[in-house]
Amino acid sequence: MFNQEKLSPRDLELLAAAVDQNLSAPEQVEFNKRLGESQHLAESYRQQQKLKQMMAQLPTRSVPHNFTLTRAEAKKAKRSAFWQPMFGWASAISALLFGVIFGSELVFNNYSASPALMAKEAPSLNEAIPMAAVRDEVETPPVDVINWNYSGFDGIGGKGGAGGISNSGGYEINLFLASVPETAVEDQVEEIAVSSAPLDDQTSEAPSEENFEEAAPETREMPEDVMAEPMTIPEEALEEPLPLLGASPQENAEPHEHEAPAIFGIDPEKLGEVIKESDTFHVSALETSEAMPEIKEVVPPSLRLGLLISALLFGIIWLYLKFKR
Amino acid sequence: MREIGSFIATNRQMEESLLIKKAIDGDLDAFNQLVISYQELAFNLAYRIMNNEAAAADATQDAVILMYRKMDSYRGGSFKSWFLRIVTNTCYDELRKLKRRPTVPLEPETDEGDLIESPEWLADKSVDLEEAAINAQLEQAIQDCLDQLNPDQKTVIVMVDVSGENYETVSQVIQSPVGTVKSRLSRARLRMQDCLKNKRELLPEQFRLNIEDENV
Repeated sequence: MFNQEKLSPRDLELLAAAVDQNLSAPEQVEFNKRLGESQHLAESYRQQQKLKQMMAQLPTRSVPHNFTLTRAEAKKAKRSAFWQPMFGWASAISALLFGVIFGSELVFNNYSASPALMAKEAPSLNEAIPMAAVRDEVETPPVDVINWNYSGFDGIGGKGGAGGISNSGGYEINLFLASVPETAVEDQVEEIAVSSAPLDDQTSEAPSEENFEEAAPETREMPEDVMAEPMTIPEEALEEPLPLLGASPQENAEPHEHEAPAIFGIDPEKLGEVIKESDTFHVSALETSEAMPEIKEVVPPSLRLGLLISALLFGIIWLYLKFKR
Repeated sequence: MREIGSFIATNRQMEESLLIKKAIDGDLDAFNQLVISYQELAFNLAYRIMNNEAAAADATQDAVILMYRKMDSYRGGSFKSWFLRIVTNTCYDELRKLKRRPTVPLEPETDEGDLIESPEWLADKSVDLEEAAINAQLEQAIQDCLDQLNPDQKTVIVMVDVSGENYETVSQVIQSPVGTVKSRLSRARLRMQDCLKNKRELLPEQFRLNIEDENV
């Protein structure tokens, strides 16, 4: 069998041009040289000349009818030329809009911290209270929450605590006090005492990294007066309104009633006593996210559905116009 | 004599340019004159690619409609190449459609499943029957082999060997360099050569390709 693989691309080009008598003078010299070297090429050249003659014998078919356009056909063709791309673009834009809206909502819902998620994660952040202990008490009296919060420049102040995540610097203590036996509460007192010292004591006397281990035992021993008597805040400090965390500068600029912090120390005699119940947090929120505010949908579902239907409808019309005769 | 030929060609080109300009401006008569100039060439190219007269007619008509819609996008150059490019692209589309939805021909078939052709020459009493039979056999053999080529190779070989177009025109139609046209043409011819060797007995003696090289 004739093996066409033996001919190089250059041979093929020269062969085609030679058969069609389209070789330039240098190409003719090159081709003649190659003909002398390759018998296959010479045989191919001879046969392709014959083939060309055969192909030229093919009769020309006469047209079955004129392919000219009538006025009506021309008008229809122009009209179709307008609508087809229009529907195509409309379909593409609708699909794009739908994709952007759907995609962005998908991304934001999955990767932004929703309040429900935050509420669910709060107990797990506070390792001092096991999740099971909280869940066991769901049926019995509600869990009481004491929140001792220092959030950066918000200053010292108690905040009802659905929190658990601090938005700025500072520190925050969330105590999720289930109705646990007193012994369990007492076991935790020492843990709480570590960070319940006044802010100034903790910040100004914070040990450096080098002598941290030496300084640690000192901070654990709380002065008796602090433990015995709740700290009081100077009246002048209370008169000055404190900025609210998360509030706009305008809101902070307006004078508002300041709620005095409930606890500035821990009185061992009042351990386990409920001082205040938080309005914003309830343990049922841990079970169901319905209790938490849901993220608002920016685009109503009807609009999204409309975009999807438009994309499909316009696409179908576009396809119909494209493929119909 | 040569000058007269050149003058006629130039005059024809000018006339064509004028028709093209009018057609772009929306003159349907000018457009139809252009169509008439090239419709036979376009139809024959479509016929060789499609190997079906009705399908070729449809493809040519579709190409004409498409060309009318796209007259605004014509950016100069050879109008013939532009038209033939639209025709070949339309034929490729049609072939793809036919591949997806194969159709059953209405022509009768033999027991072996071969189509019984009813060539036009049978109706033409002025043609020598023997010669016509030879031509029909040759045409059938060539067309069968053409159908075994891929569409690109088919277009090139039909345009060069059947329609007699030059490499530059073919290069514009397939939008590839002349070198590609040449190598594609050569490959197409080699495949045709191989195919026709297998149909040697069907060909008239003067067209039979040698098979000596098979034993080389």
